[in-house]
Formats: sequence, structure tokens, C-alpha cells
Amino acid sequence: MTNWKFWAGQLLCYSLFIGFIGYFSNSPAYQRFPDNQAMIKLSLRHAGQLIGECHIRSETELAQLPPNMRIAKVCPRERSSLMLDLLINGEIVYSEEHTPRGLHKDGLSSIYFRLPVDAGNIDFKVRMKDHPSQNDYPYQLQKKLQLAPAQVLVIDFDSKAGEFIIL
Amino acid sequence: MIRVIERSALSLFRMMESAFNQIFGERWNPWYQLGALSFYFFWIVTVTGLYLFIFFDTSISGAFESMEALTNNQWFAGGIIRSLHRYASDAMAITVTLHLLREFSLGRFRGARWFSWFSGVPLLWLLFASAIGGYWLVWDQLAQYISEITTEWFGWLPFIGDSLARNFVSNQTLSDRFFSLLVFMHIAIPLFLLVGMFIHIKRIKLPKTSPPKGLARGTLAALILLSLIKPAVSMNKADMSVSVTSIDLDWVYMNVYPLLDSWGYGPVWALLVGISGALAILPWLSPNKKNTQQAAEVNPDNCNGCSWCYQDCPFEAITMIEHDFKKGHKQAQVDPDLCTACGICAGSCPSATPFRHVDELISGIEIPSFSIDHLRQETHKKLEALKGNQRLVVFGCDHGNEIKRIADDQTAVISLPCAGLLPPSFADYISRQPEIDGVMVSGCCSQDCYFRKGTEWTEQRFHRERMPHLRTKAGQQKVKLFWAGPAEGKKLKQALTEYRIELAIHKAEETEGSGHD
Repeated sequence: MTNWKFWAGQLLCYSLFIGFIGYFSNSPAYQRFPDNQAMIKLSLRHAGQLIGECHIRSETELAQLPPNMRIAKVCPRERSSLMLDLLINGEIVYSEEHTPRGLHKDGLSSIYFRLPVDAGNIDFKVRMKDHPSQNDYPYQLQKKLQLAPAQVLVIDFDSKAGEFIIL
Repeated sequence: MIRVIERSALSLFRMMESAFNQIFGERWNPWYQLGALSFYFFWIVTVTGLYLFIFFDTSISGAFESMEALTNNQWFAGGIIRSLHRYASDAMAITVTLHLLREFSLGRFRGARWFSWFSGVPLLWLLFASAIGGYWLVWDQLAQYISEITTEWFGWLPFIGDSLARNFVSNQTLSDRFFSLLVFMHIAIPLFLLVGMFIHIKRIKLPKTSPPKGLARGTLAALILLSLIKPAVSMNKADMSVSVTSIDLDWVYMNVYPLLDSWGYGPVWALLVGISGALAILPWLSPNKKNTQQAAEVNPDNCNGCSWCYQDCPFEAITMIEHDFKKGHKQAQVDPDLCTACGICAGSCPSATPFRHVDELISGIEIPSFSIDHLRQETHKKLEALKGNQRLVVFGCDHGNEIKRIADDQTAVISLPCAGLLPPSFADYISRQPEIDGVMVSGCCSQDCYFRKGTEWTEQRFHRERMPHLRTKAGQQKVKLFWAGPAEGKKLKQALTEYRIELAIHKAEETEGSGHD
């Protein structure tokens, strides 16, 4: 192959190489959602209530235990699952039961859920139970909002205050 | 099935390699340097990364601004270096992927070569993790998208859980502490990658970790040019209160992300873990055919402890130990787990010479599937069958050009597992036969020996630069070396024709010279 063909061929190959990298390093654009969609994120961590009653040990029971383990009041470690519903415009779009973390189910329950919705007016309601004995939902939040396109609405829960919050 | 895919891929690669040989020449052909190029790009990414780190603000509030300042205020340095950092990492992903496919097509994952193949699989994960972690640090909308999807994806795993994604749920939940962890990971993961790359090449001798200068300069110049033409820039600053709808993805690294959106996290985990698992067990799914890869054997009676085989083994399968019965002497020992049965050791053995007057020729080290005695018998048989005025013997290798195509009455062909198996003394021996006019040794392409060092060592042995070398004057005059890949059949034929002409001219000159005398 003549010299100029040799170099021209290399130039072409290098051009194709950088052309490929240059193009695919940020193109084509990936359209994730339609432009008129907003997003609701439900994200919270909360410890359900303890399941079962505390037990007071009798003198006989205590005497049977080694001295370092003689604690009078014994409470169960296991916590309740969280039952959480999200309703949009009256329709349930999310309803899950979340078990606590940990081998003894004594940790926090963690929830993360993302839902794309059409932008515009929405009426949402979120409700949660944290003990199986609860017949009604003790924690609730209902709001009417106007969501702009691409807006992210984050619903969290403040465990100390015992209420849902919007971030 | 695997072998069918392998063969199809190989013919595609051969076609490309042949075309690139025309353009780059064998020495600079990038297809023969994919592993070395990957190392080279890694070093470019490392050096440019160190520069970027000097100016990078590792807080979540300052990361974006620091990258913008670097890109715009010093476009001539930081801007180019940032672009080079991105493009070299993209280039590395491409060369690594092609390297994997090519090694697969060549069947270089079977037998003793399983280790390099197997150890390469986790490197793919580390490479992708390194790159995606880098995009995360820029903290633009692309980073926002990556943070959301990646944390959800990993959060899908039961032992991680949803709390990971919670770190990136809104602007209020972002923390500098978690971001510092990401910076740390973007340094730690590439370091693990480097360690993994070292392990990957651990079992091979003299690994090719830097490409030829011409190719290195060419690719660097091309990447700098790309950085000037199309500098790497950020998208808008991340804002967790606004979701990103259209994203400028780096498709080289993030091709799986759209799948995460459409398939969900579980199926993508299954896909990627499935592919990785299948790649990892491939050496055992499609093992070597029986008896094709019996490890080399040492015959202590004929081993004088010269250690030439130890120096020449491309897979470090040979060690030197105390001789079984010669006090104060060494002898070779073969680790069968590392031996690829190439026979290069037999080619280096001084006892593998046809000049020895023994009934059965046993050399100090040889492979059972192609012993030196078999080579001698085969050579004798072929020499006896030769006819015509100009008789040639051509030695080739099973992985190079198919030499059977050039066989005729005047041309005896002997195919070896590797050209490196041929002891130079055989060329000396044949050249001394008056009825033989010449010997040609062919094999794989010079830059792409199937067994890594066969062509290089043979070249050096025949050029008297490496032991054992050609000893006789006749051998030096009558032997021709020619390297060409399997797709270069025409080249071999042409080289043979030219060699015949050369020999004919030489013979005519000799006859003329003796006539004058």
C-alpha cells in the first residue's frame, strides 16, 4: 500500500473511533418520561410499635436466672410491620406491608416508592398503620396540589411528631 | 453451539484484522493490541483523574461548580483533561469489550488459560462501577439520574434495602458525608481494578501492557483532538425537586440504565449476573477436547538443566528444581495446570535435535501430543516423498496460515501446534540434505501468536539472538521465516513463490560462479 493510502486509512480509522466515542458518550438523548409528567416519591423510615405485652418476672423466675440476667421487666423485641397506602384521586395506587429489618424484626421499616403521575391537579392521600391492633389508620395526610411538569413531590414521615410531611 | 459462535466470531475478527493489517501494518494493528490498549487507556484516565482531583470540590454543594470552573475557566488545560478523562474511559470500555470477544473467538479461555479469562470477569464490573461513579461526582442532572436509579437498583437487593435510595430522595436528604464516600469509592474501585488487572495477567510471562509507540501516539492524538472538537460538558446542576426527563446518557457505560427503567431491577440483576456467571463458567462449559492439551513432560535422562525452556515458557508453567539424579544439576518441572501444551519448551530444548543417533528421539521436555520423535519421523516421511527440481519444506502452525493449501510434490508441509515447537536444529538438519533447496517456517501473525511468544522466540532463535539457535551456515542460508495470520493465505502463497524465485536466482548465481572457477 502506498504511503498516502497508509496514512489516509489510519486517519479514517481514528476518525471513526473518535466519532463513535464522541457521539455515544452523550447521544442520543434518552427520554425517560414524557415532559408533562411529575413524580411522587414516598420515602420514610419508621419503627412500628412493639408487638406483645411486657412481662414482669416473678421472684421464682428471677431466682432461676444467673445473677447478671435478673431483670424484672422483659419486653418483646419484635415490632409491627407498617401498613401503608397511597391514594391518588381516590384510587389506591400503592398498598404494601413492610416488615421491620433485623433477624428479630426489631429494626426500622424502610419504605421507598416512586410513581410518575401526570402533571396538574392531584388529590392525594397517604395513610399508615404501625400496629396490627389498629383498625383505623392513625397516621394520615390528605392534600390537593398542583404539580408542575417534572416536579418531584416527596412524602416523608416524622416519627417524633407522628405525622406525614412533604419535603 | 459455543464453538459455532466462536468460529463465526473468529472469521469476523480475521476479516477485520486482515483489513487493518493493510492500513496499520501488523505492528500497529489495534486488533492485536486490545489488552495493551486497555492498560494504556487506564493510565490516561488515572493521570488525568489526578489532575482533576486537585481542583475538584468534594462537597455536594461545590462539586458541580468546581467542575464548571475547571471546564470553562481553564478549558485549555482542565477542560481538555476532563474530556480526555471521559473519552479515554469510554475507549477503555470499548477495547476491553473487544478484547473479551476476541479472546473468546480464539478459544483463549480453555484449559490452562481459564485463569486469565475467569479473573477478567469481575474486572468488567469494576470497570463499569469506576466509570459510573465518576459520572456521579459531577453532580449534574446525569448524576442525579444515576444516583436515583443506581441506589434504587442496589436497594432492590434484600441485604441493602430501600434506605440507600433515601439518601438521594430530595435536596434536604443529601449529605456531604455520603458524597465523600462516593469520592472515596471513585478512587478505591479503580485501585481494585488495577489490582485485578495485575492478577489478570499474573499467569503470563512478559504480558503486553503497553501498545507500540506509533499506536499509542495515534490514539492519544485522536482523543485529544476529540477533546478539542467536542469538550466533555455537564448537564444542568442536579436538583432533586425536579425530575430529569431527558438525559444525555453515556451509552458506552450506561446502556443498561434504560433497561432498568423498562424491565425493572430484578430482571436486570438476573441478566447481568447471568451473563457474568455464564462468562465465568465458560472454560468449564466448553472445555478442551480430550488429548489436545496434555501438559508437557520432562524426561530427566535428557534434561541437562539449561533452563532455556524455563525462560521461554510464555505461561510460566516451568520451574527449575534439583535434578532427580544428577547431583548439583537442575531439571525442569512442569505445572500441568499452567501448561497450554504449545510445545515452545520442546523447541528450546538442546536435546531436541534430529542429529542425535538414537532409535527413539526423546528430548528433555516435550508435549505428548506432538513429540520430537514424531516430528523427526514426520520430517523424514515428508522428505522422502518430495519430488521435482526445487524441493522445499514448510513448517507452519495449527493456528496460523493453513499451510496444507500450499502442499504439492515439491513442497512438503508440516503443521505444528506452534511454530515455537520447531527446534532450529531441524532446519539445520534439513538444510544439510543436498536434495532439499530450502526451508520455510511460518506461523501466526508476528504480533498475534496464539501462544503469545511462539513467533517472537522462533524469530530470535533463527536470527541467532536466542538459544538454541541455527548452527550451520547452510541452515542460515536456506531458511526463510514468514509470519502471516490465518486470513493471509494469499500472502503465504506469494511469499513462497518469491522464495522459490530467490532460491532459483541464488542457485543460478552459484552455478555461474562455479562455472567461472
